[in-house]
Amino acid sequence: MALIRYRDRDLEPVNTFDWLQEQINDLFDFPRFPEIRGLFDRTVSPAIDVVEHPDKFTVECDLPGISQKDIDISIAAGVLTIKGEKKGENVTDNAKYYRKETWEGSFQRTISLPAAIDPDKVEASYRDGVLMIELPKKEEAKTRRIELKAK
Amino acid sequence: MSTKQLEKRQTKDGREKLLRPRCSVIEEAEGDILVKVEMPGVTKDNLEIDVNSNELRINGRRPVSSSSGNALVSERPRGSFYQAFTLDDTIDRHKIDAVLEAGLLTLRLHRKESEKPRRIQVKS
Repeated sequence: MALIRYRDRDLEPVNTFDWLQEQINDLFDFPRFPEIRGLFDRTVSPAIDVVEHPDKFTVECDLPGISQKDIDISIAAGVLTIKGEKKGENVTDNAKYYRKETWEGSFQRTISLPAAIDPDKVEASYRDGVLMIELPKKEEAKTRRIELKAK
Repeated sequence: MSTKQLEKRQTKDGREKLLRPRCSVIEEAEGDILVKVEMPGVTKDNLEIDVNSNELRINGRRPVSSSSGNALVSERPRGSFYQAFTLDDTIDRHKIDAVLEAGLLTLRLHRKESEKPRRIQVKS
């Protein structure tokens, strides 16, 4: 193994650890294989973001190249399930693949919801290959600001 | 982790992180090349496709979600998509069709007319 010259970055120990973590994360940042996440997700599960807002939760999911009717979202017993099927490329039989990183087939992702969600008011939209689900909180779970009364 | 912190992590060294999108390159039977690039969240206005002599560059910026909140799960990569391809001499530079649909970019690269298979008629 060759010795690698220490990179003359800013000599902040904290930054060095950050940099090390980034390097290690990049090493595993290998987008070629669809991943399987979660105990019950035995098919491809797309990446999601879940963000909590004062009045709602939002779930964003990367689903490029899927037609809207192939996405199925359901809520049952406090579990949100996003599933569907991604259709493959419609290419002729004797087409040659030089590179294939895109996947096709069915996918599923389940997320346990906190109890404070109002399941009747959940809304979902699909734009530019990103699925956005808004889950409003129940009235009693919303963050309320309490005004101080001057006396 | 708050979304603010995530954004900070993304632009820590002063530039946006570049992500390599997943792509497929397919040669159709007629000789056309299909390039499919998955860029979820990229709109038509944020997409730049440049052909510079023999290089095809695809750059797609994703709008950074401005909503503030407490991120509970954060798996989607942040940054903009970048991918470059080298074109060989058989590709017609002036005849590249691009379609962006639901975050999937499909480029159709046509072969030059002079490169297409031709049958020579024998004159009697």
